[in-house]
Amino acid sequence: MPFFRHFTKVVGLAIAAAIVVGPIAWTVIESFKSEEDLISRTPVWLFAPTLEPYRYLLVSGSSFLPGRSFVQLLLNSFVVAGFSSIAAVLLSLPLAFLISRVRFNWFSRFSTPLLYLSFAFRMVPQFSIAIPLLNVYRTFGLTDTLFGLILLYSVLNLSITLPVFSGAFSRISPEVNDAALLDGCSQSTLFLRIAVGSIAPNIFSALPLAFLLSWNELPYARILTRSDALTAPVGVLMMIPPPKDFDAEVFQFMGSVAIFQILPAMILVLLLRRFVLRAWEDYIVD
Amino acid sequence: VKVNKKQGSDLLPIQLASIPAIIVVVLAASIILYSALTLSATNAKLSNQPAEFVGVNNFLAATEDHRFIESLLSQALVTTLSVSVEISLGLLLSYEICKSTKRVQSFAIVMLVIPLSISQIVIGSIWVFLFNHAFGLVSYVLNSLSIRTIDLMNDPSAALLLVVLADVWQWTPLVIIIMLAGMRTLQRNIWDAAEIDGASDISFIRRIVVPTLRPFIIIAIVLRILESLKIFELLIPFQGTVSLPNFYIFTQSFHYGELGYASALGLLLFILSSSILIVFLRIRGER
Repeated sequence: MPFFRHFTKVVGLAIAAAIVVGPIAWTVIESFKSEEDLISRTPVWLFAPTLEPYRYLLVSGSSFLPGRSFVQLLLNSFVVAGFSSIAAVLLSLPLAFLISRVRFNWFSRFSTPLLYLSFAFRMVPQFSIAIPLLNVYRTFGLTDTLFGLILLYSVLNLSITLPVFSGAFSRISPEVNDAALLDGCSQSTLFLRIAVGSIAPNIFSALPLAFLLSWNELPYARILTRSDALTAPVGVLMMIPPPKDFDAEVFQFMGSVAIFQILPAMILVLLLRRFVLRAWEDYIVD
Repeated sequence: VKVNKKQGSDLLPIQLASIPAIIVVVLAASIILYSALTLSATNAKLSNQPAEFVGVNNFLAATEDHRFIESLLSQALVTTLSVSVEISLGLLLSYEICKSTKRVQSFAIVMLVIPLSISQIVIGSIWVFLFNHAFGLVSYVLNSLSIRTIDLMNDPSAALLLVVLADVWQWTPLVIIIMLAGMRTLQRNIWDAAEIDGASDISFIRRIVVPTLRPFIIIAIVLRILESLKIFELLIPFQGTVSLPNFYIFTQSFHYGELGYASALGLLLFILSSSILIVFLRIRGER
């Protein structure tokens, strides 16, 4: 009986894993098939692999992009996602420290709405604010600049870093806090030397989360960039092979795109595996 | 009291350092809100022709816009179905994962991140093609089991269910991760005690897991409701068969160029989404 239970459990988990991985694995396999094999009614299992979709994605498809290659767009995405995540961390560390420290004065009354405001930025449907946003960006000449995107994504990422960090700061034990202050340590030294160091795990858990969300962001980038600051997701949208009617060719193309989205995520997750659950714990408990 | 006073003055450098973050958030919010309010009261177009003030006419037009109302109804259906499936499936699966060995757990977490790391346009394509009437794998399997399949692209309500399926497939892993984070807070000895007492899985989940994980379940529900209001890229491969509010506003603004009208619709959607958020924050505050 225990063997049977164990057996059903293993089979169950295997089926669950297949449902998670199967569709993607299938899509990636299909991206190596010739179009003929792809549209055959019965699935083809043995086939001569083709690299055509990848050539299209990295080289020939670039003709649909305004003077840029897809590799450049990947670089743009990397710059924007990287800088905006780091900027969000740097911007929010002092503010989160204040929120966790100053419980009972004017600041606490003011800091809670601030937390909610940053959270609301991430949660509202993009096109409910996209047009006013575009309007503002046009006025300030920020459209189609990497800086403009980094600015926007930093604000979006604050919604992750602020609550995570303020929660983590408030869990630093009061003994450590008091001992440092008694020894004549000033608040800013305490912040720089002790507090930031002791929430390092939380910083490492929030960073990949912020990075991934910016790496794949499409709606805002779609309306705010045109050529110079195009990111990879917008490029994918532009490079969908005409006549853009989601036929077999587009499917192959999407398969080749999927790899470029999974790889960085897998690398980050494998490097920072033990922080993944922590990120959610922080995000929710606080 | 003395220490407190000292702390107050001492914090000045940190307060100065936190000003940029405050400015960015407050300024961005107020400028965007101001711009939204002014735009939605005009008939601004994408082509730079001068906009006229039209008062609340845009909002009145929205109440008579059948396609907008239809997209709201579709949204209600998609949200209800996908969130309820995601939460119950997420709860069951995370419970199974949590009971297994450490190795299975870390393997599962790596697997679960895959759907979350792919953009929704790719996910939409994957499911549209798996169910493709002519050469999709799922259609093939169903056909060979002699189950008749239909062309989803010609059937809006079936296509809506496919949207739900794609959404469930992508986001159940997130719910599982949230629940796993919650289950880590359950003490080991509760599990052992339940096993010794011979509690069945179902009653353990109902009596112990759900009550203790309440805050995690609530946050998962709210995150999922709010995120499902944001469905946009997922619908691109559906080529207009399915329209949800966020997507509809996009079409209004960038296909028809009705920026003024679209910002009015946007404002309505904004109010809907932020009132859900406020209700959630109230619930959380009571905890």
